[in-house]
Amino acid sequence: MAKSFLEELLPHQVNQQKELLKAHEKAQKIIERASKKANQILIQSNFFHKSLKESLRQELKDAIGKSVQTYQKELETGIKKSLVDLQEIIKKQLKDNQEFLQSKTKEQMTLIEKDLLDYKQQKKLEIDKLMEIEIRKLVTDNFIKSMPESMKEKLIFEALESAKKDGFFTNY
Amino acid sequence: MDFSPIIKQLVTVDQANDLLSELENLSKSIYLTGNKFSGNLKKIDIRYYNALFGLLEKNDKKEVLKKLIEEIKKLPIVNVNLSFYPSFQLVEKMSDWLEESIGKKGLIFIKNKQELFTKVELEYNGSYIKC
Repeated sequence: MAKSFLEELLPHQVNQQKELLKAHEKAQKIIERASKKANQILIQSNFFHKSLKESLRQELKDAIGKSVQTYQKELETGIKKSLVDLQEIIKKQLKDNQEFLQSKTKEQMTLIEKDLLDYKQQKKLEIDKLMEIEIRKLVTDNFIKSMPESMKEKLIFEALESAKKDGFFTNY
Repeated sequence: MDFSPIIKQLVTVDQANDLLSELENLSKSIYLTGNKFSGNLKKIDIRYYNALFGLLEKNDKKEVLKKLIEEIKKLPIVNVNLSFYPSFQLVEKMSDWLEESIGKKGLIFIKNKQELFTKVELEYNGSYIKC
């Protein structure tokens, strides 16, 4: 092939150019290979990332599941214990209340019984007094009604004489 | 003026009050027209009527009535509390006893106090005795 004018004029330049082209091609190949490798790495990395993510998700899920289970168990145990404790507290409170109520009821009963007894005694006394008054009145009534006029006269004049003797009529 | 025939008839405070009321009515009718005075005079209890009529005939009516009212009001009162009501005869006897024993006419006021039973309470001139 006939050499170009430039090859004729600057042969070393042309060689250099060729070398450059070769280098460029080589570089191109290297880059392609590198790019290919990088892509592979990237794909692998993606895959790894995906797998790791999945693994982590599963791990997390398992951990959460375990935690939930543990928490659920603890919660159940806690609730059971609380219920038992509450039951005990309620039992104790009920017992205390029952005892308090029994004591108060007994106290009130004693008071009521005492009041009732006092009331009965007071009423009995009142009735006895009323009876006595009524009986006395009845006896007096009967006595007075059946008192002969002579006795009434005697009573009055004895009183008048006695008063006179005591000087009651001195200022008459 | 002798009021003793009228005064002598008085035994109890109630009798005296009745007579006083009649005398006061009579006194108010002295100067009234018509027969109002004689009409009121006829209303006077028969026990006092004759004696009062005699006095009114011989003396000034107003004077007689005024003095008689004063005389009755001056009579001492003896309160007698008893568990029973005595008969009027018995009250008259008491009145006679007071006049004879003490020498003065008095009026008797009987009050029933059953609780006294056989006791007698006497009240006179602010004094009290239970026999």
